[in-house]
Amino acid sequence: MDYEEFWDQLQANWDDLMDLALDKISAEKDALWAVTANTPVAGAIYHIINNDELGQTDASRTSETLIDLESFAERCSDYTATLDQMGAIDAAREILNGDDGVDSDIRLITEGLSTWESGTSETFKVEYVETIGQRKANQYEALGNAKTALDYTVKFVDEYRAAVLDLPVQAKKALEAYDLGSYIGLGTAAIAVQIIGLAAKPLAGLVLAEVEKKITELQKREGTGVAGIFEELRKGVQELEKSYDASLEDLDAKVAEQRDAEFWPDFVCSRPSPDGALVEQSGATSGGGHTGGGI
Amino acid sequence: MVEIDTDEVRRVGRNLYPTLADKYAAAAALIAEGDADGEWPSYRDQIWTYLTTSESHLRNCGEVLVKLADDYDQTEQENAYNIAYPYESTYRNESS
Repeated sequence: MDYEEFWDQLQANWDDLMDLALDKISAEKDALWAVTANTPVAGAIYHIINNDELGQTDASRTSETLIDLESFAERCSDYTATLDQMGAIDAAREILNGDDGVDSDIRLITEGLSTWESGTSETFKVEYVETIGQRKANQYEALGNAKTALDYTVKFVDEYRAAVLDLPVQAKKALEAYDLGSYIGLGTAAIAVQIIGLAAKPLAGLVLAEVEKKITELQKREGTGVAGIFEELRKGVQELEKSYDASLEDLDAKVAEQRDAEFWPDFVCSRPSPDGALVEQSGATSGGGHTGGGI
Repeated sequence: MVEIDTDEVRRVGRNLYPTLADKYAAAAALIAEGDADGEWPSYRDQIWTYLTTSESHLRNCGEVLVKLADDYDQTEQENAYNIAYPYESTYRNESS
């Protein structure tokens, strides 16, 4: 699934969820009016419950839950460029190890130097011809490691995209399974009691923020109602984000470990000393050994 | 014993090593660019440096072989000349 399809699917899943959520909210509203015997308090409860999370469809699109969901979905970004990079690494590996790769050049060089015999010829062949093959194998493997790391990031995105898409689906299932009777029996009844308790004092003394706080606490404790289910959805997004961060952190640590473990001379083709190295070494008064004089 | 076909050694140094070095240059160019987060870019840079350094070193190997063949030919040429043309003292007493 490409990035555009992913977004379309996320929007569709969210819309499905919202359709059902709004139906359930209407039912909650009607039930609240019934519980509070059609007193205006029910209107206040409805307003408070729906103000933050749901309410009208347009308002819901800017809700904290959707913002979190979209913000995380954006992190599960388009990975076309990553796939291109993986293709480039494959092409580089093919140059090193393909049918027309480095091995054929090593063979030609070996054949070309086969008749050369002298005091230094064997050293040259051992140091600067025979070593190329092993270094090439190590370079090929390093490129493979780099590709694997990119492949993991693509797989992560795929997995987390699937999880993001599933969140609204699961929330919808929870809404479908949600029995309005339990909401009336537990959460809303408790809310209503609290509100009515406050309302027994002069209604003007009802501090909206205080009521809202009580309702929020009750919603969290009871975990019921449409708002409660949306709260769970929001927590689900946060957990996914944490898990995604942890996955990337683990991958980063492994890449760094691999990078730091690679020993330079095993990955770079050797070269003879440049002209003047012998003179330089003979004249050197300190440090700078022959084999460590350069790369 | 020294046995050397300097034309062949020169050919290896002048043609075959540079051809091999070109392959390393091409492989390095393929991974030279591209963005990614975290530690990956520095690992990519490290591998890119393996390839570009190898390219440079392989060219050096070729240059050394060409120089070796040239030096050998020049020495042979000088020796051949010196042997073919006896020095002055052979014909004339230079010490007097």
